[in-house]
Amino acid sequence: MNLSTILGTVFVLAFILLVLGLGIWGRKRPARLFRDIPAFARLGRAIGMAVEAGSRLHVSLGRGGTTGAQIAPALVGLGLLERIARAALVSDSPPVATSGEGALAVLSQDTLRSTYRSIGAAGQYSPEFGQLTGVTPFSYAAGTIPLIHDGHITASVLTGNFGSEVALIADAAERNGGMTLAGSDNLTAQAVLYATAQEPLIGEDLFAAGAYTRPNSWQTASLRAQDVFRWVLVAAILIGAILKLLGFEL
Amino acid sequence: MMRGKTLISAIIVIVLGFVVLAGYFWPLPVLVSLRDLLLKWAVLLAAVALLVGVVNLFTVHWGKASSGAKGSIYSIVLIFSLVITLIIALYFGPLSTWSLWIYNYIQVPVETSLMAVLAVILVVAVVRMARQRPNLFSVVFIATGVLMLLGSAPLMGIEIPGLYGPEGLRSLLAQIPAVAGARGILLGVALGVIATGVRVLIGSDRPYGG
Amino acid sequence: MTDVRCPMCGKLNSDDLEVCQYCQARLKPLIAPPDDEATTRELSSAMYPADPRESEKEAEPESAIPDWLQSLRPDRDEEEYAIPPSAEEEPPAWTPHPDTGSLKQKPADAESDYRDWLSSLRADDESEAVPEARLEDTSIDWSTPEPEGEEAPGWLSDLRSTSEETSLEIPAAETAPLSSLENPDWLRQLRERQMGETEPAQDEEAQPDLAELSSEIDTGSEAFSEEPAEQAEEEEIPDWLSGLVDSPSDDHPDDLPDWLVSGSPPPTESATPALIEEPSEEGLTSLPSEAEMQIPDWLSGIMNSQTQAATDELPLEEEIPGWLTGKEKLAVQKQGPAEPEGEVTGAEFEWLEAQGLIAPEKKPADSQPKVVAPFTMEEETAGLDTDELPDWLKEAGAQEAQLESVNASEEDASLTPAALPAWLEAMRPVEAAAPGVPRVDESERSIESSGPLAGLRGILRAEPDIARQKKPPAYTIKLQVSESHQAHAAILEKLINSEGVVTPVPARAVVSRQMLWRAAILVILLLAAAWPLYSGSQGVALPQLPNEVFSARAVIDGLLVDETSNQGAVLLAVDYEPGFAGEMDAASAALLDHLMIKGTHLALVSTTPSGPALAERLVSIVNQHSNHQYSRSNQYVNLGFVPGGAAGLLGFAQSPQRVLPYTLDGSDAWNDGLLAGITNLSDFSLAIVITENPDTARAWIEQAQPALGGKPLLLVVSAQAEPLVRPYFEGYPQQVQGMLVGLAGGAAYENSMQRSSLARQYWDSYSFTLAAAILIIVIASALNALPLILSRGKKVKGEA
Repeated sequence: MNLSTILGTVFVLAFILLVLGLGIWGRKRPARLFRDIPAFARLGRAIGMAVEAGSRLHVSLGRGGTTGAQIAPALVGLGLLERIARAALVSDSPPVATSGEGALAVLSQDTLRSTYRSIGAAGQYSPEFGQLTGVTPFSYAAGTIPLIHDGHITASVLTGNFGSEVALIADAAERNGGMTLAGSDNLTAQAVLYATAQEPLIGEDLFAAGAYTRPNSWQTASLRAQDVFRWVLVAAILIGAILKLLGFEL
Repeated sequence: MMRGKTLISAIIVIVLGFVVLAGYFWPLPVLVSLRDLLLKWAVLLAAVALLVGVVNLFTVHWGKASSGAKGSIYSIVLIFSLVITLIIALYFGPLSTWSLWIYNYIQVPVETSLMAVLAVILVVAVVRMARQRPNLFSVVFIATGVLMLLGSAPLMGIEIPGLYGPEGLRSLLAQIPAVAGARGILLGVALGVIATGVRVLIGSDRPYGG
Repeated sequence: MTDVRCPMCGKLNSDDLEVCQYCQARLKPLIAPPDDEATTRELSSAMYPADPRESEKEAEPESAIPDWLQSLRPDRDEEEYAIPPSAEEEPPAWTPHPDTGSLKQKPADAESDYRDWLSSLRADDESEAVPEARLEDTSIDWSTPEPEGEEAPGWLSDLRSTSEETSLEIPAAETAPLSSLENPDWLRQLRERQMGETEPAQDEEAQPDLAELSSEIDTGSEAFSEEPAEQAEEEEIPDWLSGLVDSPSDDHPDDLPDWLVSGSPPPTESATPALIEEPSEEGLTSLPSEAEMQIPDWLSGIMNSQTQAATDELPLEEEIPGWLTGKEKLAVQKQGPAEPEGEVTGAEFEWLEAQGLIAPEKKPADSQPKVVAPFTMEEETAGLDTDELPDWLKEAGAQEAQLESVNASEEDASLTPAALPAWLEAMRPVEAAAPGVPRVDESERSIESSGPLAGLRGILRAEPDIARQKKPPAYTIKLQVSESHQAHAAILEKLINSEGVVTPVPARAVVSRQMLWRAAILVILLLAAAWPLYSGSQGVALPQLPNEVFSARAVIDGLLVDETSNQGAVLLAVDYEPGFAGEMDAASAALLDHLMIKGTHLALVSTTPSGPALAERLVSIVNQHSNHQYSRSNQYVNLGFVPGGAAGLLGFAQSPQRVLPYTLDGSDAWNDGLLAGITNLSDFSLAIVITENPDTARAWIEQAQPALGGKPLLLVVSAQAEPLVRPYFEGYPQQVQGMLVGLAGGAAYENSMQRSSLARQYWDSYSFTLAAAILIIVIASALNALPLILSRGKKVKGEA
């Protein structure tokens, strides 16, 4: 067990303990206010308008694999999908989820099915609500674009592991006149989304979606733990740079 | 009943997640073997999920083609292509001449064409951004992009001094500010990934239908 | 059918009902039909006997009552008591005579009714408003035109004609003869004058008023006699009035009209003489004969009696009627004379009996004389509209006022105030007392038309005014609407009218502005890219060898290849997507060409599903462009797809034979073949990863590089992944030994090899397309941003 392994172990355990502690402590205290992210507020309005207009909402989960770190933004997307499905239940057109990976398509179907079942509208569910539109990035984008144009989509939520092909999807949503909220863990996708999407989420803003859309003590606790460890990393980088300058070798 | 299923699912996820995590940090033989076993199961499940996804894709487009909805012709083409490719690849092999011919002369050109369209879309997006979001960040974004483009290659045979070349501004921007910003964003993303994983491990987030 | 509102409860009832269906009150007054008026009168009097005035009103026909006499009535309804066309109707027999106080056929209740009537008259005198009310009543009455066809009594008509000549105004409605129940003013005046005349002659308290009146009349007559000389041209005193003092005729007791005797209204024939005639030269001292005067007999009798009393000093105690003795003149009261007090017997009309004017009747012993509220000319003239009164009354009033003033002064000197009985004291007019009774202009009050209070004025209505169905006043509503209001109203109207109107959704333009922009950019870029390819131009210089490319070149150059021992086998990971094939093929072609030149065995692997196919394609392209003959199973093996992403890669890195035991064509790659003797990744002499995804590159670096055992790792990445991968090259320890970044890297490697490949073919097009893209971005952005900058400048200037 080398130093990196030890440091990694400590880091992860500390993070877990901090989340648990802040989550338990946060139940007894009022929720802490975070900085305003206008994208999530506009998302709420867009959902409401889509429900009123009877149009459809689209959630895309990307093409990240389920066995790596690329699943994390897809998990955030699944949480948003559940929230949107609950909000848009009364809409004439239920939301639809697309993905570029088979496991994500199965997960999206399972999320929608459980949401409808919990609301008591299991009969309204259809497997078509969660689709695999392509196994390669551009085929995935090519399969998603017609659904945006023909499915009367007025709002698209793109949260997952994307590449530069997300620009095609965002551009299609933009040309359709709908609102686009997009975020990815991929830097290339973030750069592309900054130019093409209405509401891009840069950096870790994507991972704060849970705390802003369906806040509970655990979501808030994990967000606060992120803030704490961010400062820890900043300190560690500065200290390491200073030590490096002073001639210490790590 | 549903609550019981949810509880069982949550227990499985939590336990196995901690086992795999521990197997990464504590190279104990038991943990390592369990980790490998679970990862192999995950890989198998992912491959099966791919097949399920393909079946779902076929089902959706079959329904579209059957209903005659708008765009059903494209669903028919997709279904036809899927079936043909599947038959040829299963019969002749994935590296057979016919399979490679389909891949080399249909799939690759289509996707490279989409890439070319992406280039046009990105240029249009940059121009539109100047109109829709006329702020400082947009100006910096456009200026940086233009500088990087200017230093990437000689413009019609003209090498712009100070921008092009290994010691040019373009290399400098790519090696220092871009890397620094990328590092910062990646660190934040990493923290977010860790937080999401922790929420799954403690059972707060249950994306498995519970 | 109109509904009738009940006067008691105020609820609506049907018109044909007699009594209210809610409170059972009578809806319609008991009015006799025209053909049975006498019966109606009897019935009404039987039902409503309380008010003698009412019975009087119902009894006597309207035509028989002159307007000025009718005006004396306090509650007068014009409609009901309009002067009927015919004055031939006679009052009912039971109606009492106002002067005699007795009735020829006096019913049991008539006397009480009469007393009530008289008391009501007295009550009217108590208030100053009464004369005015009466005056206003009279004004209404005065204005009532004489109906056509009516013929006034002769004496009245004569009076009228005389008044016309003498500018005396006599109302045209004076066609009805005097009612025996009325107490005309002139009669009162006469009495008062008589009383005034006789008062100075008597020191006794029981000076009858008649004596005073007589004296007043005498003095008045004297005054009148004097005045004609002065006012001969202006006014003409009627002869009968002038004759009141001189010759009170008592020779004509039988000359009293029957109606006066019987209590019935006088006939309307012209038998009644005119009351107003030109005064004789003798004045009023002597009454002209009846034939000359044409005055009613009863009046002449009065005059005669008064004259006789004045001249003969009649024992007024016997002859003066009780009502006169008890009567107190207001003028005297004003001047403070003591009112004569004395017992007033019931012989109120004894003087009339003494005169023989009326038959002596049984008078109730205890009957109290009806005291009529003394009227003075002063009062009357004060309230009366002098413009409407006949001139002779005015003169009489003036003369009486003079008489009163004289008498009052004389009385103050000689008379002691008399002790009045209590009942008489109570009946004293309180004109000099509290003047504070507010006058109510009853003429404005409407007269009740139905119910038991019909004919009365000033009745509180059973129904509130608010419930009366009145036509609401029409108010003109003129809105002041401004232009902005009109505009807003127009907008609102437009919105309302457009509600429900289906507005067609405007169809999307087939060719939109944005599509034109895209098409233009596409054409420009295509032209920029196609031209060098079409022209075959290769004039753009290839780039110099960068550091990362140099390192990669060095690694490959140092690669030792032993074909017999499979040394120098290279693991080649083709992990880019088909869409990036254009860039990645051009970037990796030169490197692969170099490896082929060296004769290395290649093990192709991929972590993407389409990787193996792409790897095959890459080898074929390099073979084609560089004239190599690399074939599968001879120079390279294709291990296939490594599932599981990073986790699968880790497993592959730890045990590649276990993860990928066979090649794609089904042969055993590790035991027999090109990879025999290779069990770990460290057995490979070099690992090259070709990817466009920085995450894939990172995964290979993080998962597979440790398993390489110090063997070099080269990366061929897209330009988009350079920032994320470069730290691995420039970091310490160096995890990546060489790197080719994008088309430029491949072109640089080709330049170093001095071999032409894909990069050289794409380099000129790349240069031209890059320039076009830069120009489009700069110019279009400036064009889009310029209006905003100018508008912001204008805003700043405007704010400044």
